[in-house]
Amino acid sequence: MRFAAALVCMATLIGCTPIAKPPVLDASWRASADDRVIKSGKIKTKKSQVSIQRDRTEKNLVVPIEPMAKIEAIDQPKEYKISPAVLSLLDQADQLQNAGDLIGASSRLQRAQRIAPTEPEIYFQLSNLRLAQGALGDAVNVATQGVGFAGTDSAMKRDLYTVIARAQDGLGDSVSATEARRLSRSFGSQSEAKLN
Amino acid sequence: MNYWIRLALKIFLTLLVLVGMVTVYLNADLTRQFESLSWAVGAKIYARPLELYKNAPFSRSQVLYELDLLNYQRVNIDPSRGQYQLSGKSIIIGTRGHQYPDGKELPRRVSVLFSKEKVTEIQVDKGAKLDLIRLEPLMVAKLSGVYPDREIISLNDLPDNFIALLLAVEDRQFYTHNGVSVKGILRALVSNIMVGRFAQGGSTVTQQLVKNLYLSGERTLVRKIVEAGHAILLDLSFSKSKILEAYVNEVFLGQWGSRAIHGFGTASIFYFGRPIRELNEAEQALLIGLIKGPSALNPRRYPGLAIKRRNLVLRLGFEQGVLSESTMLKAVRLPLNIPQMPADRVGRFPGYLDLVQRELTKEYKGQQLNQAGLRIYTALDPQVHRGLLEGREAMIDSLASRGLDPLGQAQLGALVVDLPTGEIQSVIAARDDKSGFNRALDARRQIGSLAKPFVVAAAIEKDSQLNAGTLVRDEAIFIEDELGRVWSPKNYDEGEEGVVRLESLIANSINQATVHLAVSIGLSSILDRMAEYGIPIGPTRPAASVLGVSEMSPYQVASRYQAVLNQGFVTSLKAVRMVVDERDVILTRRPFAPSRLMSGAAAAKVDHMMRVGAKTGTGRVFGQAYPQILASKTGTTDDGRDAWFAGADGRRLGVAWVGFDDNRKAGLTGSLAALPVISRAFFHVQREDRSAELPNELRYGWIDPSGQLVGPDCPGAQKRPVSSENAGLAATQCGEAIRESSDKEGWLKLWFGG
Repeated sequence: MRFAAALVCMATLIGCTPIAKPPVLDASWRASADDRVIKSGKIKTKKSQVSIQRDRTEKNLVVPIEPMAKIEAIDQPKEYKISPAVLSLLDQADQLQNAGDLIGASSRLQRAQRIAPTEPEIYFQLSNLRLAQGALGDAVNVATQGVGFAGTDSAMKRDLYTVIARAQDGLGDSVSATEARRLSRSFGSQSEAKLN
Repeated sequence: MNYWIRLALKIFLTLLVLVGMVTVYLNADLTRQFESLSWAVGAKIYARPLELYKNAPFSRSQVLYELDLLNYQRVNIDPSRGQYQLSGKSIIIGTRGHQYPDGKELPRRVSVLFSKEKVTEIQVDKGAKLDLIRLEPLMVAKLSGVYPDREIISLNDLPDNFIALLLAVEDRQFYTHNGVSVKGILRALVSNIMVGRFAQGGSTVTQQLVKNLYLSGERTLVRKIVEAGHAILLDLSFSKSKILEAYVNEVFLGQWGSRAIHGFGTASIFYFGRPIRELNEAEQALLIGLIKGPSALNPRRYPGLAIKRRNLVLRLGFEQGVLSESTMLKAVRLPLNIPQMPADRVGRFPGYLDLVQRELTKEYKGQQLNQAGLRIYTALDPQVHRGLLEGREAMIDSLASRGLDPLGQAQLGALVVDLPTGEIQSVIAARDDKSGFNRALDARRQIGSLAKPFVVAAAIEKDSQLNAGTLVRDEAIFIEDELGRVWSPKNYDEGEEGVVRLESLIANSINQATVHLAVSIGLSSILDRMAEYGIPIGPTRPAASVLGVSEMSPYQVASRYQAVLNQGFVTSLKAVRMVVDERDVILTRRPFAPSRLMSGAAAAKVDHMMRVGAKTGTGRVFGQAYPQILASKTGTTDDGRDAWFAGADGRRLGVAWVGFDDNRKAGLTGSLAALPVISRAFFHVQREDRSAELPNELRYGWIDPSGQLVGPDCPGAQKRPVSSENAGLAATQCGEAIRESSDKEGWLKLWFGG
């Protein structure tokens, strides 16, 4: 909506009246038959004929109002320290996966996830495991969720995108795979060697 | 003469064959039934185990609560299995151990050290540190097998002198008789003649077993003879220890409602909540004493009689040389130590178990669930459940005190979900635990304002520039409904602001602005997207869907809110983690398999709007903030018929519905009726902060009260997620300055990143 208004402005260039502040999302200006909006304003009419009666700029000058609330805890950078309990489960999972016990590895990783659900390393190992199990769609989703927890850890993001790229390869989605590779590179040098 | 002899011989032989056949048949039948005893046990359902590790978010009192649930006994020194000792800031626990599907947790003695709210260290006996242990899981139910509700034990599970004490009381000649004791029968006969009727059994343990297993009905002489016959056969076919093992698992020891308590293993859990190996002599004697009359000596109803009987058993034990005098004298002085309710937690979580049953019946046929010692591990969190129950009580009291529920009929359905995994931690089905209708799963009611986050998410997905500060018109709007009627929603307080920031739409739940937003973006596309999110829109596609005419259960609401509060990802909600059989073969497991429901950017922006809602909006009552809840949305439907609340911290999401089954006008509001249920649910678990991480497409920017994106030092500016290309204004670029300059490029730059 705002976009549309701006485009109109840019198109008409100098002829456009300067607008003092960002526009307001206001359904009065949008009233397609599809959306069944019949009227905005205080007058109630029966027929679904749209009429715009108000001066466009008049109410746009109204400014809110109540103060913005501070949301706590979004300033604190996350501490990066994997707990020994999680480390030991990750180790066990690693060993089990190497020994071919994928289900055993999976249950260790899920146990680790219950203890530390925002630890990206768990998502990395789990997505890697899903890759090994051939559950490629799951691998993409688990790794994507891991990216969301990786914060400023670029190396982790790089590795997660590498998993995504490989899973997308397997799914035959070369566009997504290429995009994931690009993202992976943007977080550092390639590291496929780290993956098994 | 010869003829008569031959006839008699024939009859005799025929009878002999008949008796033989009956014997063989009886024997086969006995053998079959007898052997089936060892396996016909219902599946056991477990709550989640408590995981203890360095920095685990549990205070000492939380761990003590858990130990109490598991009926650990407090001792002053040297805790052995099933006991604990308080020592300074630590708890020394003699764990019981458990065979988990992913490995055995050995019973051992550990010291758990605490700081204020956290576990700081776990040590084994000699001071070595442990990374991680888990207590055994609380058993919360047994599915009925052929022999429901039975805790099967072997003779090795019994405490040392238990069998000797049992036989001293019930059957002194057990190891020497042939199933029947002639002495016993004669003694009974004499006493029966003296009282003039058939009163005393004089039964051996073997006879009692036969009576319990195969026979029912009155005490008659004929039955007594059949019983004796069976007993002799049993004694012939099986070893004494096999018979004894069957007996200790079969003997009838009590009744609780429809639960019949059979066997010492079951009785020990039922009366004391502990495995029988942990019982002291007094407790053992009590159970043995109950054989004589489980109802007449019911220790909960007749504690005096039960103590008298127990002490008689103890004295008999001393007279027969089983107990030393000092043990006996100590034991007779002990109190009963039996809680009024069954000491186990079977039947305490009806709403949750209903959910477990439903998940299981999807995968198993009835008979499969009755097989051989299945273990079903669930995510039930007793600490969350305890909070949710308190929340329920608080809600019931609060409605009553406000006069909103004079007849005590208000209902509720609530559940708590672990956001990242989708595991369900607790379910409340109704206002009490007796109701069969599970409102958390089955009550589909209008969701009201709970729909708003999905409207806003759908709008953000259409226009990625929208953020917390986007201005939205808030005044009357008129829309023709699906039947050609004119629909004009009102705000809850009937007021209107003229213009509001997008985040207020969620934080303060503003109806008219929500409709303006949806129509501005395109009502059709918003409704389509909401349907994809899983909000039922229906074939007539009413515009009022954006204000929550859709009907959903609390379970469904939770499954959709998971996406908003979990970076746009959902998992299928689940109670069952794993099902394993007797041999530890995994029958069911639930791999973690998230899928994307909405874009990460839309989810993150709406998530932050819900954080504002919890802090300053409708997620507060009377200015009272609920520190456990960090992001929330309230919902109230017309005339206060339904009150909804969805609230989360960094880890858990709770959803509660409060209303009446007949959908009456009730004057409820989400924040007054439903909010307290969820805020209380989080009371006994530690709050986890919500993540500050944003997806790649977003950055934190600064927004001023007029909704403009400004620099960080501008008056009243606060941090909010905005599209990456919009962030990063200099400290001095404040809204006023930009506005005064009336430079059209200024705000174009502002909104399009220059």
